[in-house]
Amino acid sequence: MTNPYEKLPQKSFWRPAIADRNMLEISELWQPKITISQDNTIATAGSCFAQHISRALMRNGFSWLDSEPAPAGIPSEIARDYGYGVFSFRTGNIYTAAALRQWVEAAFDVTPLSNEIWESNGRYYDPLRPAIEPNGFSSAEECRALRQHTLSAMRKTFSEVNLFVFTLGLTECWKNKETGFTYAACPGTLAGTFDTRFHVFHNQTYNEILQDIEAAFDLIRRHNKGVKFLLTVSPVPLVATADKHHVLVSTTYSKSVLRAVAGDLESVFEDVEYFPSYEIISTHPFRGSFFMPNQREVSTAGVDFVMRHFFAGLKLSGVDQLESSKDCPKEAPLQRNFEEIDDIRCEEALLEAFSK
Amino acid sequence: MKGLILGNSHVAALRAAFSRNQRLDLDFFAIPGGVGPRIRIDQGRLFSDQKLAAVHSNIGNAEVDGLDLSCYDYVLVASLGVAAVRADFSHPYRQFVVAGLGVPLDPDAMPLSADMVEIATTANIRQQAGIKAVRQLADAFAGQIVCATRPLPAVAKLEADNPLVNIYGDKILSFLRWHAETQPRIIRTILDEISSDITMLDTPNPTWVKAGSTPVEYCMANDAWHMNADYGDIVLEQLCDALK
Repeated sequence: MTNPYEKLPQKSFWRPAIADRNMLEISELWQPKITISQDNTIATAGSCFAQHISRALMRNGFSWLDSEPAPAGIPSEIARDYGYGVFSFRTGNIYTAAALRQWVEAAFDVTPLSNEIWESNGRYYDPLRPAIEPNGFSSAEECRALRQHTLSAMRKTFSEVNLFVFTLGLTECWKNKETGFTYAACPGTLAGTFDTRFHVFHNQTYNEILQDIEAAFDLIRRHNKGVKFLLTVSPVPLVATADKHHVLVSTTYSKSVLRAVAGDLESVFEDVEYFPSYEIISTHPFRGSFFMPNQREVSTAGVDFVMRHFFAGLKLSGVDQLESSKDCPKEAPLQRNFEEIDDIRCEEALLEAFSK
Repeated sequence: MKGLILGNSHVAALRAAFSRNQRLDLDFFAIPGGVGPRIRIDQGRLFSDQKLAAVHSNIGNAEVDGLDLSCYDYVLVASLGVAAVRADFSHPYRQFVVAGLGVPLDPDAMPLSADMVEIATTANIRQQAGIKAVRQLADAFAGQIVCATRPLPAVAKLEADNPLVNIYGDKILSFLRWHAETQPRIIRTILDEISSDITMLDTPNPTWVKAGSTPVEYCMANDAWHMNADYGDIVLEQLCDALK
C-alpha cells in the first residue's frame, strides 16, 4: 500500500526538517519558482523590514534600482534620514497594501493622490510619507513638487525593473472619512493633527488586501510585461494596535492575514513569489532568538540569517550562501547582537513616543 | 595690528578698496580659484599649494618664500561660500533644483527640498580649498581668524544664458533670496565645526539679503559675481569693527 507522502523529500516532514536539527541548520526553506539572477534589476518597497533586503542585495552584487538617489557627497546617514537609498523611490515605509495601491495608481495617473498636506509651525508634511523630510518641507509647493518627482521615480522603476520586492507590514491603517485616502501613519503621530471628524481607523480584511495588491501588480504588469514580484511579510510585530484586542492578538491577526494573502497570490500567479522571512524570524522553531530584547526589533544576526536563506534559495555562485552550520553563528544570536540594532528607519516605532 | 587678506579672486575688491584708503596695515595673498585658495602651512609659513595659478601678493617673492604667519595679528579669509555659477563650470547649483520655487522639473537637475539643497551645498563647501585653508589656519595660526562670505551676485548683471537663469527663469529672484539667506548659515555651521573662535562677517547690507542680490553699483562692470572697490570698502569697514 502506498500513499502520497512516501516519496516526499525530507523537508516535507517535521522531524527531519525541524525537530532533529539545530535551528541554525534548518534549510531548504525557500525554493523559488521564479528565476532571480544578478543580472536582474530589483526594486524594493514596503515596511521597514524591506530595507534590509535592498542592503543585502547590494552587498551581494545584485543590481538594486535606486530611482531617486541622494545628491552626491551627502553622508549616507543623512541621506537615509531623508529617505534616500532606503527604498527604490522616496516613499518612506509603505506599510499597507492600500497605501501601495494608492502610490502605484497615482504613479500611473489612474487615481490622483489626495491634495491634503499637513502644516505645523510653518513646516509642511506629506500625509503619505510624513517622516520623509525630518523637519518637514519648507512649503506646500515643495511638498507637492517632490511628491511628483517621487511618482516619476516610481513610474521609471516599475517600467524598468525585473523584480519588485514588496514587504507587507500592517493590516491596520487610518483613513480620511471623506476621501477614503489611506494615511501612511495615524494623523497626530509622526505629523498632522488627529481629528475624529476626519480620521477613522480601519483594519484591512483579507479580501481588501488581496484586491489592493492585485490591482497594484496588474497596473505594474500593464507597463512592464516581464516584471516579477516577490512578496514577504514583515516579522516585526505591531508597535501598537488601535483595535480592541491585545497587541499580541492583533499582531497575530495582522500577520496571519498578510501571510495568507501572500500565499494565495503566490499560488495563483506564475510571476508572484513568496519569500518566508516571516517564518524564519517569527515561528517557534527559531525560539524568538532573532528578536531583540524588546521582542519586536529583529537583530542583525536575524536579518543575516534571513538573507542567507534568501541567497541560498537562489542557488547562485559567489553570493552569501547558506550551506551548513559552519556559516552560522555559533553563539546565541540574542547575546551576540545586543548592541547591533540596525538603524533601519521604522517610522512606526515613533508611535512608542506617544504611548503611555 | 597687522593683518593678512587671504583668498581668491574676491580679494581684488578688498585690494582695490585698500589702495584708495589704507586705513589698516594689511598684506594680501590671493590665489585664483573658484573654490578658494589652495594653501599649505609649513612650520608657521603659509604657501600656495596651487601650482597652476600665480600668487597675487604685495609681498615680493611670496609665491616662493610664502608668508610668515607670526607677523600677523589676524587673517581675513575672503571669500567663503558658493562659487560663481557660470555656463562653463560644473556646480552644485546646476545639479540640484530647489523644488518648492515652482519651476518646471528639469530632467538634468535633481529636484530637492530646500533643506536637502542646503545639506548638499554644505557638503560641497566643506570640501572647498577655502574651508581647508581656514582649517589649517585654525590649527597653526595664533591670531584672530575672520571670514567673509562670497558676495551675492548682482542679478541685473547675470547673463541671459546663465545656468541659474535657465533653471529658475522668472523665479530667479526667489532662488537668489534663498541663497542669500542660506549661504551665511552654511558657512557659520562649517566654521563652528572648525572652531568657535572664528569671526564671520555678515553680508554687508541686510537689505541685500532680502533682495537676494548685490546692487549693481557694487559689482564689476562686466561680472555679476565679482565686486568693486566700493564693496571692498564696506567689507574692510566690517573687518575694522570685527577686530578684537
